[in-house]
Amino acid sequence: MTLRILLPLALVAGVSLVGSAMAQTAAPADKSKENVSAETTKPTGPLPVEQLHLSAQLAAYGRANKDPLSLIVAAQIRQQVGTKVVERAPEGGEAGAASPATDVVASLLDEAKAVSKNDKTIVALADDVKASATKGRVGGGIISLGQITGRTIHNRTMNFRAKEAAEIAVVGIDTSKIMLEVFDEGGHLICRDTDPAYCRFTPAWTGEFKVKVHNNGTSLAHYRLETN
Amino acid sequence: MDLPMFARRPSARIVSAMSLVGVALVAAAPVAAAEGGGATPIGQLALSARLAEWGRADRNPLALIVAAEIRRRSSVKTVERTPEQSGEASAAAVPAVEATADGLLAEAEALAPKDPTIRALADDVRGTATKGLVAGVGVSRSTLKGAGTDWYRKLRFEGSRYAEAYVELSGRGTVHVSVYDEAGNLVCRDPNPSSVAYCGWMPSKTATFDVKVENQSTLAVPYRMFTN
Repeated sequence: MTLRILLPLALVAGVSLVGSAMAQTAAPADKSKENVSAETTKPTGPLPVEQLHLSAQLAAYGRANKDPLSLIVAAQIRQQVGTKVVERAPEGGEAGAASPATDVVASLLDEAKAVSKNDKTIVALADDVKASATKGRVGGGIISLGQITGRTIHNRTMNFRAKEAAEIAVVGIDTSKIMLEVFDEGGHLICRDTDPAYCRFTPAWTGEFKVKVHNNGTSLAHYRLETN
Repeated sequence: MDLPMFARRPSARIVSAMSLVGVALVAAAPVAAAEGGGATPIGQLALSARLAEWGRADRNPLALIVAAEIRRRSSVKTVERTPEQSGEASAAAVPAVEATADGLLAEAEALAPKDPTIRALADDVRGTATKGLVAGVGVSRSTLKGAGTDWYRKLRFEGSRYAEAYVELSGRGTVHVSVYDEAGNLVCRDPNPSSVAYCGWMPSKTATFDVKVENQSTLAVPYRMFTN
């Protein structure tokens, strides 16, 4: 995307779990309406989670098609998003155990090399990416790791600010059977997507949203939850 | 130069659609689930478009080459569709420039005219036999009037497979796509402000749907609509 603005830090601060600072803005009385604004102003800069999602989609394509170039570009995209990892445990659960693939960029580059059987061009391109100084050019991505048993739903409550783009993405690390659902406080389904899942919306008023991560598989799995 | 070969088998993995905001999603009878797009021909066209947009913004020739390679895999067949149109008939139209694999490769080479690796990779994509590997996409062309809306009524989608509608502007602008079932329920909407818009949904039975394409700009803009 040609989106190039850093989201205000205030928005990052505004995305928090229940129990932390709750919304200061009172919700309208009529919660029978959906908390989604019809106004979708085009941002003038990149949205961090959107770029992480593009990287995840491209990585999925690259793996499925054994295309090392896709994996390298996926690493390039991801490398430009400045992220920080925070612990956000699901309700009634614990934060995820350490992921087997914490350094996603390095993992993607290693995958590209492996897929190409260490083709010299691919190795050179991968090394260029590793050495490049573009890391973290787009800020604002917040990542949490999750560990979820089979046929389980993780619930988290998050606040998003009115009239600002809210972004949530979930990527399965060792599974492709993750599903994301977002509900507003009135119980309206705002968004549903499957792995690699991405939801973006603009709240009409500052308020709580229920973020549900489903493991539709039967095995223990790990995932990355990404928000702005 | 020993270059990696591009994959030739169809992608088997789902790549996610853009966020799906379903106002009446739960109640929409024909909609069994809102799966996240997929390794479908149309999902791949959307991925190619978004990757190309990122590549242009980042001035990244490698991203444009991968976007071309993804786009090259899809074979499209022109179909006749006449929308019901509203909007400002007198609005000037933006110049039409349709995205093509060859065009993306030319853009990549223009970004790095003296780079032999980029030239070789572009030639490799041109020389591969993947063109039209994935079939089954119908495309129609039209021009949205300024601030206008095009309605495609009673488009038939099979109940046995994931349904997709994807709009790609052939010029600068912002477009939204919404899909309604026979009862008028909104079953899918891509509200993200972008020059492309994607909707994917799973009809529980073969049925007709209305597709609404909205121009968020005051200028008329040509576009292509892809469906399966």
